[in-house]
Amino acid sequence: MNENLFASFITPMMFGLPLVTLIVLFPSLLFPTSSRLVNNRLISLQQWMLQLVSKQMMSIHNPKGQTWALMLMSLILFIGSTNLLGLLPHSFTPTTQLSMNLGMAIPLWAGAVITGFRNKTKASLAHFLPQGTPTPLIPMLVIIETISLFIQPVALAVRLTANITAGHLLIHLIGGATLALMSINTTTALITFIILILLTVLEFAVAMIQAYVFTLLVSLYLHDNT
Amino acid sequence: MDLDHASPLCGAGMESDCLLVRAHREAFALIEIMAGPEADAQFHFTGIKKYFNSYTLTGRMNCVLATYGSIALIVLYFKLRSKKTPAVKAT
Repeated sequence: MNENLFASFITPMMFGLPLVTLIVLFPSLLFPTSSRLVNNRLISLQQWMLQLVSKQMMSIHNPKGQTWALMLMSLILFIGSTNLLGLLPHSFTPTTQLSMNLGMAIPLWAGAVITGFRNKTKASLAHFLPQGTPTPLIPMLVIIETISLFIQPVALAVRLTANITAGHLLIHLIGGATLALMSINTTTALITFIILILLTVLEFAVAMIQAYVFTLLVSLYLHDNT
Repeated sequence: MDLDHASPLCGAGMESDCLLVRAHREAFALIEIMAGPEADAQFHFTGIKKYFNSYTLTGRMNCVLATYGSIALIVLYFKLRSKKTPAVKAT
């Protein structure tokens, strides 16, 4: 078991060809599109969910910020569906790869920051100094705020990677422990199995919450800059 | 973007915005009131404090630019100084 602990995080290959592209594109097949005015139950449910999420997330934005609605809705759907699909046994989760999460976080954060500097240069620069700072602390606080700005995309990516990876590892470990304990002590194995069930439920929640948190933070960075 | 439909999470007879959305709106409105350009008029600084302070938008921007400029000058000074004085003098 120990030597296979990180096997699920290796990018899958088939006959020397990487399957990552197919895996990343696969969740889009699960969201059907429709050209009808009145749709079937699945598409109606999907549209209701999208409307709920977009209203929750986009109502705080001005019209300029709301131009990002499609991007943010696509982001939350993609991360949410990828995380949930990763909970299937023996599947590969692209969001466990830091490279992928950095590839999502950095362009979105940079886009928001550059939008802010282009449209509200004065306010964006003034943002580096909190209002009411005592004079001797000004240089230090400017440096601290600059560092905290550049840490934002790294924190976004690492938060998602760490949460999903940790959850998968825990499930793997506790599942292995349950199997090992079955031949030793059935009662302990049963308790471990109950813990595994609870952990799986938690991981379902974490998968959706992390998608929401990622998108919400990008939305907040956008709000600060529009 | 039209977001006028009532959220399914809110009960009938309530406003169309959920509590969470209203709380977000109020929080961001407060931030905008505190830090907007219209709030600069309430401060009356004179002298150098008119351009470098941590209350008005202009003052904060100038402080930030001055900090970055100082850091750039310090880095430039050390770079130029190390080019002028060689590590080992030829004899």
